[in-house]
Amino acid sequence: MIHLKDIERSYKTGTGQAWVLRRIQMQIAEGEFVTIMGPSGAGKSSLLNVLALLDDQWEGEYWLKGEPVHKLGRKQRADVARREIGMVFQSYHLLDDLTVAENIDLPLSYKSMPRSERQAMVADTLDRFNIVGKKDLYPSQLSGGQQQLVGIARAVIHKPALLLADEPTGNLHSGQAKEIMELFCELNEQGTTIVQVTHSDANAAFGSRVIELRDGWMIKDTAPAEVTAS
Amino acid sequence: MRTWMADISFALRQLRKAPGFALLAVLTLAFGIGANTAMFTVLENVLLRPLPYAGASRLVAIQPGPGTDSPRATSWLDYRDIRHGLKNVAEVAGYSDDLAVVQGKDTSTAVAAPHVTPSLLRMLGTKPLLGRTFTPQEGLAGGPQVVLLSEGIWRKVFHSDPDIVGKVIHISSVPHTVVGVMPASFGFPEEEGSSTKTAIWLPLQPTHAMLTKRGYSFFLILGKLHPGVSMVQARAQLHLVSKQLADVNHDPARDGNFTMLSYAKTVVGSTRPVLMGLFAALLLVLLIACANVANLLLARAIGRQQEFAVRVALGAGRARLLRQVMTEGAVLSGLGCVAGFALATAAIESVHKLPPDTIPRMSAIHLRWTVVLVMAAIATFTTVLSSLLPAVMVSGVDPQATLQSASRGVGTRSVRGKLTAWLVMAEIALSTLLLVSTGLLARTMWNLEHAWLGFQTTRLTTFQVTPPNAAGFSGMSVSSNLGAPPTSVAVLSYDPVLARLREAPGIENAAYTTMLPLTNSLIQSSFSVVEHPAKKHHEPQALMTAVGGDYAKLMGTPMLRGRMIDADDKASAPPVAVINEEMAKKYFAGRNPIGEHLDLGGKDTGIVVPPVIVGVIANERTTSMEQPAQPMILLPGDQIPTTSLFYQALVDSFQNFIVKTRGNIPVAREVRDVFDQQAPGFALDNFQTMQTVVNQTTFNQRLGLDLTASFAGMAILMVIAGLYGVLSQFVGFRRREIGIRLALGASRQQILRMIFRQSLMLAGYGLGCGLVISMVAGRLLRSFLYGVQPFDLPTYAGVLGLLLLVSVAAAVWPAKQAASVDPMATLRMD
Repeated sequence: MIHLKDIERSYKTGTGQAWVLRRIQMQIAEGEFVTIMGPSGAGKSSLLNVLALLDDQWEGEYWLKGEPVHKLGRKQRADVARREIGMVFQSYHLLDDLTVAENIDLPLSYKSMPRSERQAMVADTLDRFNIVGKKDLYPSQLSGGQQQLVGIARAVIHKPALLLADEPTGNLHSGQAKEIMELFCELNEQGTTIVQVTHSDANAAFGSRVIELRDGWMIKDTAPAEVTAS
Repeated sequence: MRTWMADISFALRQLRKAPGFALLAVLTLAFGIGANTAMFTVLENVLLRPLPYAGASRLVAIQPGPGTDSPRATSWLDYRDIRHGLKNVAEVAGYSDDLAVVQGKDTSTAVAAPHVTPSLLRMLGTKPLLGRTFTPQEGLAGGPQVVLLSEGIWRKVFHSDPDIVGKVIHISSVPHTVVGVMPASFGFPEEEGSSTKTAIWLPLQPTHAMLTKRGYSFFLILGKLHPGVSMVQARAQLHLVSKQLADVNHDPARDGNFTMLSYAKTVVGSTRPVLMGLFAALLLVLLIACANVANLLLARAIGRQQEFAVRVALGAGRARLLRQVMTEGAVLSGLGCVAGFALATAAIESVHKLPPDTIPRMSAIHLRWTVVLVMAAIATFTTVLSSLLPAVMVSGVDPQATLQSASRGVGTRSVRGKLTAWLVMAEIALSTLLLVSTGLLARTMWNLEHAWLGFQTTRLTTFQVTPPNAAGFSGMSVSSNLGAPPTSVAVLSYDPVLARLREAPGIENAAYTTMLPLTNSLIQSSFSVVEHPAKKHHEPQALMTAVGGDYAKLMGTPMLRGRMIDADDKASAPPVAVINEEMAKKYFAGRNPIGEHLDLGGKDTGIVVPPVIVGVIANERTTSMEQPAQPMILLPGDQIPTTSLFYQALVDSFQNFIVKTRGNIPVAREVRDVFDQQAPGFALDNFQTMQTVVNQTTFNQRLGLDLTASFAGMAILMVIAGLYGVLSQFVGFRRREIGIRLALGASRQQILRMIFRQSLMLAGYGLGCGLVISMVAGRLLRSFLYGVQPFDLPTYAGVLGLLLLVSVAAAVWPAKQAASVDPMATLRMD
């Protein structure tokens, strides 16, 4: 599914360069549920940005479903991301002026899709996530857990192959967090590859593999040997 | 007091930290305040300030017929009867416009020479600088020849001679004793404008014609109401008196309908609606400026939410926050006021540089303390209007929510987002109104400048000639002298001058006419067609002019029938006349006027032999571009009997000469040389090209258009700034949203389109409202338009296109900013 080879990322500082990712080698198979952990500043979110194709200032090789992303131009990468990747954010990042249904429809509105087809997909997703009754509410009218639910629904409506989640339960209490993680498990069982960034060991336990970063280096990977081999 | 000073000091510090914002806000306010202050100054001086005479608010003009804004003349006999009949008018006096030649040591100067009844100067109450005003005896028929000088002519011609009172000077070759000098501030009659600065005043001494002929209408009546008497009461009594006049004189043609109106109103005339229209346009600009500044302050207030949340958390009450924000607005308005005052002063200076008499009472336009008060009121108004919204917004901040939650931005559907959008839509609506007005005035201007004149202006120069012994209009009478009549000045002087002018270097041809097209020198008379006489007292009226030289050929005005007056139409030849197309259409419909004769009054006027019509000349614009041609009779200057009333009115008082030059060259020197040789002592002035004459008639419209266009231009700049500001704010507010959209798959083109769409939506709503308002307000503009309707489709389409273009232009940079948002940075992943 994902193959990273010698991925490096740095930022220019006043005196030189600050490295946030150093020679990351990683393979993630389809259907895996991977957790990336590490202390603050380890490079977790930077790695997630690379995987999400939001960052294009990295060096190295990145293969996504056999496609050499590192050789693609910006527009092509955006097309790949739109097609294959869904993102869930810690702060939900719902649009305050759009209703629940409109927020969920947002990724579809950027594809060339007939309106009727989009409406059908939105209706299915609302039903799938049991939030039909909330479709006309605005984010400010929802609890944190409900907002994150909508965020996840928005992320998966276009059936991405890869779901990336950055601290998805960071702003939720434990009860809500458990519900969200159980939902991730359900999605993973249905075939979605999930990569999450978290500080929480409890959340990490829902996944099948943990990758640990420190100072930009990958220092630990609990994957079986045949997966980690480059 | 300390907290006020702290607020002001903090406000100034805030402005120093944001110099771009401060400059934009101050300049915007300065223009709005300054322009309105300047306009109000003009309005105050021209329309509101009383005339500089004692009891000026009680001065009334009494005139025949329905009330108009321009004074209308009546007869001395009517004046006498009205004076006797009106009881609630304290005084009734009269005057007539006239001109004369003041002969100094070296030069002869043609000047305005109003004839006034002695009671008039007493009524106005202005004390002379030197000497005295006229006594009642000096206003009687056959009274002594005395004169009052203006300060201007006293200084210019008589070199401020301190002993001028009592000296004898020559006025139109007649000796007059100077009885006084009027100060420069005295400018009666006000409707004469700047010409009274170098005028002389002569006592009105009724002639035989005035005392016997009720149709001899050269007289204007001025009255002064008793204190406490209203205009309504006075008008009621005037109505009774004028009804009695009609009954007594058994003159059913005269409906005896005299009207009374404020004298100040006749002075201002048609300028009032123009000035009020310009003031309204400037108020629109001020509103747009306030909306702009309100938007700027709103954006700043939203950006300072954290600051205000902290202030509230530390104990600031709502009123205190309100006061702080209003103080900041007041500081901006104060700075705008100072800059605006400087702008206003500069604007007033430029008003004084306009051609004389562009605006009535122009020389009296100055900044006064009343205007400073109004400016303070305008500043307060702008402070409230531009600061209140932001103040109310921030004073209602919830400190907990603001301090604890991450900033989620302000969406377009939030109240604040809507407010900024409404403000900019209001700006666009108001600008639409200004632009539509400008467009309509521009079309009017174009139509006026391309309107058919009836004559050509290429290489034509005109100047006014006044004989040294100009009789003036006030002294006109039919001569009862049984001896040989004197030779006409047309024969003695004008004809030889014309002949010499044609030989002068640089001059191709020359002619003269009493009534130059598009000037206000109009002389009318009643007439009758001998072959089809009109009923007594129902005689029609026509404009009268004397011509000499080949007038029609010079002016390029075609002859439609017959021939033009020519050199063979001498005094000894049978009297002839030419009429214009309008007169032929109106009074000779269906028949050929050539060969018919005109009865011009017979013994009453001194034209005993009716002239025969020999030609019909095409119409020329007579008074203005907008007014249609009026019926006109042209008489050969040589043939007008010197014993007739018409001789004094059409030949001997003044004359307009026109010369066709060989190139666009000045010929004043050559002309003066010819007159010095052929007609010494004649006063020559007012040299100008015919094109200048034409341009002057449209000057007011052009000035109005230039001013309105500049207001509209300013408004457009403010709309661009406002729209740009709002869109930039929106991009700022929606940064997070744009980042999310990009993260969720939106392309940068889609983000660009989103911003442009928003701009066009704002513009569309604003335009829609503005076009509706323009259609409603368009009716008010009707009287200013010429050849274009208030609902002119090309104008509206042009405005629509321009504002859409503006809204696209204003959106370019914000759209680029939005499209270059880094989703990673805005989502704050680390």
